[in-house]
Amino acid sequence: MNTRLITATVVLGLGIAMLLYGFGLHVTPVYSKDNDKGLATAESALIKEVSIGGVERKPDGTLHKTYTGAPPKACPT
Amino acid sequence: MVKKSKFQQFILKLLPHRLWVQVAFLIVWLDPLAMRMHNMCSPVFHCYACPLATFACPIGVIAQFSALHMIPFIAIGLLLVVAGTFGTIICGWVCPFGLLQDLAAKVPTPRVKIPRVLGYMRYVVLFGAVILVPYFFGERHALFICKICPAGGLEKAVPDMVTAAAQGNEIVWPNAIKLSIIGAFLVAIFVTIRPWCRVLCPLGVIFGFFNKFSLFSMKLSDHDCTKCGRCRTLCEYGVEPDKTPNGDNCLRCLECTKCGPGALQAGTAFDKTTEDSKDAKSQD
Repeated sequence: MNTRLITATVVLGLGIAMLLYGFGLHVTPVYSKDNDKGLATAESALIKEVSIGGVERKPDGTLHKTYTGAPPKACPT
Repeated sequence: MVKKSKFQQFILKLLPHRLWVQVAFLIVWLDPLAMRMHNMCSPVFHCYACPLATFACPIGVIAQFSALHMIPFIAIGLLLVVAGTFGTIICGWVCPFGLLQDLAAKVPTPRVKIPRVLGYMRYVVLFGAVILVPYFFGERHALFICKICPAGGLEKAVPDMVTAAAQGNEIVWPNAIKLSIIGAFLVAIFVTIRPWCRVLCPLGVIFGFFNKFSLFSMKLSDHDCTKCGRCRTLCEYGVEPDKTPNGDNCLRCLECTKCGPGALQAGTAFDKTTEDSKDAKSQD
């Protein structure tokens, strides 16, 4: 039995499942000053936001935009 | 002499051109079409704050999501797919930060050997600065990975400083810790080979962990290995390929496959003769 092939297939399957879930189904509400009900944000859009430091977590566990208007050009860190 | 597989023959033809393969991939990462696709991660170490970054850095995304108390399914999924297929081939042939260090290593300077045990620091960086510190202290903590990452310093902070100086504007200096890290990194890449990858890279340690399971693999024929030690001489990164051909500290530059007897070969999990040697298996 080729254990490497089996293990690699399991890892690849898990990776593909996570990618599909991340791109297709995973949404999170993000609050802003303009939107106090929370805007359902896809994970891919959230990746873009965190890459510019555009989202932060408040003590109550909700996610909030750090800016209003035009987004920052780059991550502040 | 072992008969070399067609795949190994292809690798041997490609090996002299590894630097050019790295340069070709560099063009992909440097966003030549200005697409700025930062809603997707790349599988390499390249800061998303850099003005020339096609994709988001997976380590930065994992750390930022950890600070948000969220699971980054896309970043982890991508890393699983890439690591499960290639392992550290990405480090040796694809990563732009690896290319930078390889180019610096071309400068003839006295070299310092890195003790192999320091490779475990990569796990400390991964679990500490990328996952735990962001999760418990948020992205503002001084040990948050992006605040101490030399890639961010070199690809964003330094260009910003140079641009400001050239335009006669006030220079915004990074904090002392980041400046020290940039300085230490610039010294280290000239006195040792791939210091970041071998000692601190949190992405490399993920790929390295999957070397044991990836579809691409190294094969060592124990029967044909003459224990001449040439593979260790060929390896610039201090790995012992005859002991751990699929070890987590191997960057898979594949130079060791040039060994005379041909006992070490690159292969895949689909090969019919997939069995690594008993010694290699037990020590991996």
